[in-house]
Amino acid sequence: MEPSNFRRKNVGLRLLAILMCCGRWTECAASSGDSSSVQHLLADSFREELLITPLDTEHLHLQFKFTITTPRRAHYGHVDLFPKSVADVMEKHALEELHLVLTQGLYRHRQWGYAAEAWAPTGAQVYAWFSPDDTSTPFSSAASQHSVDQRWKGLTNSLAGLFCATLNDVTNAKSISPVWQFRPQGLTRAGSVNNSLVRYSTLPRENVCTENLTPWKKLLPCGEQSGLARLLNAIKLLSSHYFSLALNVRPVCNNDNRKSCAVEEQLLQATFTATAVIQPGSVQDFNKLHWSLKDIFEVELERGCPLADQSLIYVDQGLPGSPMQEMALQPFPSFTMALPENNHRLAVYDLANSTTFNGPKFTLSGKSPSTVQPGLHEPLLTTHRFVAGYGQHKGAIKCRLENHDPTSALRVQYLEVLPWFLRVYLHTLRLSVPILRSHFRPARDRIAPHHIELLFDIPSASSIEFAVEFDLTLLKWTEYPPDAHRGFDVPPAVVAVMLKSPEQCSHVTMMPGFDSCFLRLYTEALLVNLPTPDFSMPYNVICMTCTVLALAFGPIHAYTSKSLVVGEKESAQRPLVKLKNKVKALIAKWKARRTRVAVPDSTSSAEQDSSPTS
Amino acid sequence: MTSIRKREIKGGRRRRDSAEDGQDVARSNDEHEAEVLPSAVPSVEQRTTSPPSIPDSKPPVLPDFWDSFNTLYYFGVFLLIGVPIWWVTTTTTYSSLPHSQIAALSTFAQEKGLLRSHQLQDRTVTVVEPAQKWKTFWNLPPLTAVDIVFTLVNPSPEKLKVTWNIEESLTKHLDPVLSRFLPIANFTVSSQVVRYIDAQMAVGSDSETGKKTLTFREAAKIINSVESRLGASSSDKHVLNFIVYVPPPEQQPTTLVDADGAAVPTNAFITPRWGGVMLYTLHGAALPPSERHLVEIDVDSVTKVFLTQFFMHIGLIDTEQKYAANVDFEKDLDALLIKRMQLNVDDSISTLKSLSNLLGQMGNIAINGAVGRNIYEAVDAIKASKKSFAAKDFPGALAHSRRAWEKSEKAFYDPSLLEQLYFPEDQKFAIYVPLFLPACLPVVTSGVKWSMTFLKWRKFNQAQNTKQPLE
Repeated sequence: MEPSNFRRKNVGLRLLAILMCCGRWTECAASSGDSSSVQHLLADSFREELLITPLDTEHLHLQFKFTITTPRRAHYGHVDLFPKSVADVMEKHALEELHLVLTQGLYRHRQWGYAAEAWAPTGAQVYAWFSPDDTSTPFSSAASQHSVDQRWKGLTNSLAGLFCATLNDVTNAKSISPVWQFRPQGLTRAGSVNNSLVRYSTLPRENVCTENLTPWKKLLPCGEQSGLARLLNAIKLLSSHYFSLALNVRPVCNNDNRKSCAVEEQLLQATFTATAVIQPGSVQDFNKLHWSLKDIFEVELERGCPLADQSLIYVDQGLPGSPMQEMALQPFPSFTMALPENNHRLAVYDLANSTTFNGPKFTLSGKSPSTVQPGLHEPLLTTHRFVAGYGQHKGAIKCRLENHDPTSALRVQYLEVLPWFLRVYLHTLRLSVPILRSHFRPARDRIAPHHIELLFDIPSASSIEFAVEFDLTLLKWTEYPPDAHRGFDVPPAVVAVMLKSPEQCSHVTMMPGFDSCFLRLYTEALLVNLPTPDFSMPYNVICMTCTVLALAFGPIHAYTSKSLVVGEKESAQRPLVKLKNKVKALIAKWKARRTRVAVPDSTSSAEQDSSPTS
Repeated sequence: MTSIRKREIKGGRRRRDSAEDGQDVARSNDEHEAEVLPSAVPSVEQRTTSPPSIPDSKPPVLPDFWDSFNTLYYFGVFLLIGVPIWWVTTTTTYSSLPHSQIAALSTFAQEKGLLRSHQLQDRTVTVVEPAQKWKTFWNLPPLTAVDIVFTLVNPSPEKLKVTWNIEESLTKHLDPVLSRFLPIANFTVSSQVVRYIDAQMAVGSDSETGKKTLTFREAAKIINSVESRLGASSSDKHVLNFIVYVPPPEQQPTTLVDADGAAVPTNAFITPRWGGVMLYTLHGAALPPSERHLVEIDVDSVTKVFLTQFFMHIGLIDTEQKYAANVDFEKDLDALLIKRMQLNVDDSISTLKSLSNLLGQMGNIAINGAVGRNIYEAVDAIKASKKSFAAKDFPGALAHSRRAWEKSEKAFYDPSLLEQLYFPEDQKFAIYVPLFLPACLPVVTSGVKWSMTFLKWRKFNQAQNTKQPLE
């Protein structure tokens, strides 16, 4: 299709729209494809997609999405495309849903805008919904009898092994059960939506690396041998500005009806998502508007994965009127489509269709128009959170939320999880807007973190700022990490926005289980400096304390158990004199012995007697 | 102060409590003592070292009551509270262990000869004693749970679309067999499909017939390349992998040949304790390379081959007996139960013995209650197993042996054993020496001194008493 001139329209959530609609579009495609043949339901299905979104900042946002579904069962003994390890984890810990994200870098909403399902906090985040202990449902496994805490511990250990991440560091002291956030994203059943069945935790310090990417890729049906996964070049991805690996497993329904779904129509869906924000071109290369998949990943695509039902690449061309509509793409797309809600245009390449290929290999390149100004499309809501205060006694965490919508207020859900070693004063938390709902659960030392959830409105085109103050505490000296002076990580806060109008809704993903739609943002993870002792000190302290104690004890002991009594002067001989006498006595003794040996006479005894006294 | 005390006055003395008196003493040492001192103080013998046995001249005198009391009190506190606290806080918790009982246990391997054959009421059961050590290596180690995973490996999914309905076949052929092995272990069966494996095998060809052949050495590459894709097991069960490898069309049909170049009839090989691999041959004409072919695996033939391999793993058949069809379940199963029971008991005993040795050598390893309990239970279960065995109750013996093995493994691998492993002996003293040395020296010396004075005093008194009647 030729680039045509559309009416330029300034809509903030341009990028968001595409990505979210993408997910919906594929879901629709899945349901329409499978509904014709019910007996084929027992087969696993696999779909691979790549969405390329040029950003205003000349970066490229790339999102790989691999979706595998399998019929939902109580026991996943025999699997085909669905990864057995994931099915094992779901079954062993009796999970309803599992969401794991490993992220490197911080997603900069302000510059890059929003991107679909890319809102992941720095580090690792995991949350899971557990099955209730209820044997009446067809999908309940024996493991549901174990307590949720037990299963959560088992789950994080399993995931740690599966993805080579230190998720085994997730303890109860770092986990909460969110009250309003992190609702189930898939099918739910009666009694399964209960706060006691969800656990959420983040590890801001987790470093994402190749060792996480490799096991993640191994779970895909085609591995990294074929299809879009070939593009996942670890060196390129991990040197990007932002890189996030996700695994989301949830039960879905084969038809679109989420309220009631027949048992045989229920599917378990695992979505593997890899998101990267990459700057195409090298530092020397000033022509950053031109990009190609080959340059970015240094890998050429030969074909789509033969196991995939669909193998698609989308290029986001923006809303009508956006300069991105004039993007020059090479080769020509298989087809272009406009999303029904807002005419958002996507160029689609179908890798299963051989006519897409312009040669033996598939190379896609594009040239963005140079008229785009960075920061033109400011996102609807931006967040910023930072540490305030100085010194080693008190501190505060401040959060600023800005609503850029000129017309309507935003209803915001705010979730803050603070580690137990910050002694939070809740009374210092003051908002300039009324809090509609709040939940606060104070921390318990080494057992549970602070858990604050708030619901409030941000007025249109304004920003609000609030802070919570805390005292810094000393930890036990074995609780300090080896690099204690680096500071202690505070997990990012979660900001969820419930969008009301359908206009806004069309930009954002439709979260299953919600009637309205929402978007979830994560603030920065923070570092707080706790007072740290000098770790070389303990032995010195022991010695010092002992010396002081000994010095105190000696005189007290002597004073209480001994009396001062006057002796005679003669007896108070000086030590030197005593020594001299002793030596004299010894010499005399020796002499006496010699004389006795020489002359065995009785006279020596007299000498012997007198000599010591002299 | 002590020096003053040492030399003082045996006959009569004055206690000075106040600081004022202390000043007096200081002064008296400087000036002429005789003038200041009250005349009541008698003259004292010069020689303090004079033996107390010399009677009437200098009678030894005990320190006054409060001094004695304080000295002894310090000493008592030091002995009765200080030393025990130090001892308790620096020793590792050590529940008592049945070392002697463990040492007395003997493995079946040590007692062999007794066990070669057993007369049941209607038949004789012979225990297969592996002649060579490598043969025991064929069998699975002692275990209580096995994960049997069947994996279909399709290295070229773009050329072959392979399907299998293994679930049905396993239900039909494997499940009834597994139910008979339940006394040995619990089994879970699962299957998966793995694609895109690059085994990089060099397929040779037979010089006479021109058929494609694959040597064991080359075929072993399948295991290397497949293993990383098999998926991490989320449990700590023993995993047995059975792999069906479908070579790509250009390598079809491939025959597995042994070291002598003879074709292996089953086209499969076994890897001890790990599982087995079968090369799946597509029959019929050569496949055109361009199209994608649909292949339906003959699951029954696959299951039968793997069933034989499974019998070998579990120890039901030896390598000499080639096929599962030759298995006489009634007879062989009893022998197998006994064999597994003996394996369990022997392994459990050797585990306990090594643990007991280890604990004997390294006193710093803490033994908490749970570990201690596991060890006791393992010992009891071993004894129970042997007792049941002697009473010819083989299923009972096997059940006990499983428990023994489980408990001994649990005790041996308990993470708490590692906790104080590296706490060196000298540190337990080093940490407290700065406190104890300065504090205990005066306490001990004063205590010793007091007791010596007391002894002298008593001896003197006794001497007086014995002397008086004489006078």
